[in-house]
Amino acid sequence: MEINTINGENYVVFQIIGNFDQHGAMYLRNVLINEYLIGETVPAEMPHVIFDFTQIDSISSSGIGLLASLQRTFNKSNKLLSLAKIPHSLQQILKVANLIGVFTIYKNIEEAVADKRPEN
Amino acid sequence: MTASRITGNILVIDDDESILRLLTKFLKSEGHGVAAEINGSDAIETFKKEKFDLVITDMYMPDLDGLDIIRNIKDINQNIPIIVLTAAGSITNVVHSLKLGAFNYMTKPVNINEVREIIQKAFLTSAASLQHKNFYTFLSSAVSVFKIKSAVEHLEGISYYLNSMLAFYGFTSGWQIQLALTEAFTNAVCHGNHSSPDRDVTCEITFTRDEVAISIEDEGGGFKVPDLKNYKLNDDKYAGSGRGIFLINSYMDSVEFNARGNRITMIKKRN
Repeated sequence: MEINTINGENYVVFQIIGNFDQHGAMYLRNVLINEYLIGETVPAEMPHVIFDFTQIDSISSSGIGLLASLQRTFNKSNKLLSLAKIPHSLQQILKVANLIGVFTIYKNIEEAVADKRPEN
Repeated sequence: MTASRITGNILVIDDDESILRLLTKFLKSEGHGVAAEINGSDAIETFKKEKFDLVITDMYMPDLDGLDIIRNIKDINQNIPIIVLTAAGSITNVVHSLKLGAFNYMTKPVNINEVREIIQKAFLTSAASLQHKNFYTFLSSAVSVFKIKSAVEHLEGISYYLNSMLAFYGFTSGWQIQLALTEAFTNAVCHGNHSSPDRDVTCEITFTRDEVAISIEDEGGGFKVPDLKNYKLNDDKYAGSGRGIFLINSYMDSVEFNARGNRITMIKKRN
């Protein structure tokens, strides 16, 4: 799996490319911990994190597990995390795993960037 | 003698109304059934509701782009031919679309003769594969056994093999079966064999007329076999464990373990 990072004024987009499996989840976790998070804590200056799934080939429970765990971490810190452009298969998996309501999902990056949910 | 043309139902997606009108008029004049959509999300909904033989999609659209369309449509129907419309010179996205399974591409401005030719090629290719579509009915069983070193990177090879065979034997629920294989193989490597290079994972794939059976066996001590019929996810939606076996159980028609708990056998019936 590869990750492209696009930094905006108050957001960062992670483009997930390839298979978001166990290796991919570990890689993304390391990128986030090394470059953005402080251990398991989201710093106050953390911008809105958007995951762009346009170029994802497949996802496994490890990828979903990481997303769920990140969502919980971001919720605790009242910071924004969104998913965008998720393919039909991922939507189905989230539905089966009863996770659809857990994430904020946008059709495209522009809508995610325009998210005006309040933060602390 | 004029060769007869094959006709079918075509979904055309483009955010440029003039191109949409031009293609719709031309395709109808050729005898095809046509549904035209100006918006990618609406097009996916239309595709889910109606039966199409071919999709023509623009590459650059504000809502879902051509690559999104291909991914979504191939998730629903792996075998449908998709033709991509793109501006001249956009080779990167053309390559990507072909990798995702698009049949061919056409550059704008569209040339009507080229449209006719590519559509006929797509229909001929589909017709040829339809001729062999029922070949599996002659199958008694096809068994493949792989003894694979305990490394997650080998998943790609076995996934490629399974995907090719699923297409050959005409299974349409490919991504669900692939997901089950991914979960079971990763579990066998990481938790069963603890990623030890001295241990193997044995993967047996059996196709019959009615089903595909996938067995994954590691060389570890075995897991406590879960009660699959009453298996539920943790009440804590964010919890990490148990989701893999839950997904396998959700997507496969039958899941069983051996007594030692180091071999899982997953069966998916033909749709």
